Amino acid sequence: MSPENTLGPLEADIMQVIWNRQMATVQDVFETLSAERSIAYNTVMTVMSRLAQKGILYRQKQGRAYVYSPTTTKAEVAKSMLQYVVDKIFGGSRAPVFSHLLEEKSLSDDELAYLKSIVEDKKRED
Amino acid sequence: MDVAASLIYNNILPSILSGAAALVVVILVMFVIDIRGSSLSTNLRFKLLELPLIKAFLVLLGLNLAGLRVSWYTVAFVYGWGVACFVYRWITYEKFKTEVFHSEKLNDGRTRKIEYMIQNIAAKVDTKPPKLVLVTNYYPSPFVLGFLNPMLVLPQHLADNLNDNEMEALLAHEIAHMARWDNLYIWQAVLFRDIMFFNPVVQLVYTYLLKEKEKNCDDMAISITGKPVQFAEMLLKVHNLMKERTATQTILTNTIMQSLVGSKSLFSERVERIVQLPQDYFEVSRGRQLIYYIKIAIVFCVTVALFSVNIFG
Repeated sequence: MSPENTLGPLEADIMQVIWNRQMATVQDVFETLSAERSIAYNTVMTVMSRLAQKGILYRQKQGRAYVYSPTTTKAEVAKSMLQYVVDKIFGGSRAPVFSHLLEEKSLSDDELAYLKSIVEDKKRED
Repeated sequence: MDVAASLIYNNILPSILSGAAALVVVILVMFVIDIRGSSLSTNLRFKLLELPLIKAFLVLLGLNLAGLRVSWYTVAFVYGWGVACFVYRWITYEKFKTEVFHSEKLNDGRTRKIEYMIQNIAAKVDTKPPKLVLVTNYYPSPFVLGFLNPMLVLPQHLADNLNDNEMEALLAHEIAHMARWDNLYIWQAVLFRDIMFFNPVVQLVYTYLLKEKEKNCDDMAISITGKPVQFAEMLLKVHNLMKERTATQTILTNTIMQSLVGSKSLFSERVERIVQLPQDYFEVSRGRQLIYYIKIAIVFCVTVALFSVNIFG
């Protein structure tokens, strides 16, 4: 789990509400959270959109509102957050097992296009 | 408290400084004898980079070739922590091995074709062919498990998508890891890194060792197949397959893929390097062999000097 996908305090609170309900709109989450603390509707909406972008929430339009549902269980997220911490300390728990052909990182489209072009150039040279 | 202070001043700090000094020496040697230019020299760079790790470890223990100064609390700390790290790694390894053993395996005509390719490649580098395990589980890349009776684990999606040339390049890279006993070296390096978690030099050297390992295996694989461009194409294809696949995975896999922050990726470095290798890079002439043996002698002298002289601690 990357730092980008570990849950912050507000994200964790929002996820808690959604895990309890399994399906919820921004309004549902806002009403639950605002009963306990002072929070803006727009803040909830922004954070939920970000969670959807990260792939933690699935978003589906129903009528005029988006309905959000979790893509993963609380246990799985907790496990992967713990794994992230362990990996940070031990630098990848499978480090001695894998002789990677490739690192588990993805390149941007621009980087890939550049690499393809230099390989093609070399092919033409040969 | 006295014990902790003694450990810090007599073992930990000297270990960090000795590792740093050894790294400076190693980098200087690399520049002076120019460990580049031909495939013969690449393995020397890997061996040289291991020296700072070993030096830092010996100084941490209070051991070096010039003397022996070991106190009971150093032994308790280093061995206790070392054993804990080893046990953690071993349990993780066994769990992962069990996962692979329990995965669904394929055994058809394609498996036998790949086994035949493995036997051919292993014969070229004079090593025992690994047992092929073709699994339906998704792993982003193939890998070698074990030391004495290694297994080459190949995920099905790669067998389905790579053509014969690409498969040959991929297998050559994995067999190169086996022929060089990389799994064993990396176990050792990982344990050193775990034990000396406080030492930034060790962390740095470890990162470089991983990079060197892959580059060395790229060289070996290309010298087996004789097709550098096809090797680079195979890397790009496997990367694309990984990217396509993981884009559809849930958060658990996405998170691995998205950890993009940081320096230029090793993958880009490798592809660029392969494409830019000089034409005569893999030639093994008498002159090159002679220079190689001289370099080995220099590396040997540097090794002895590094372990004989103890400036810190």
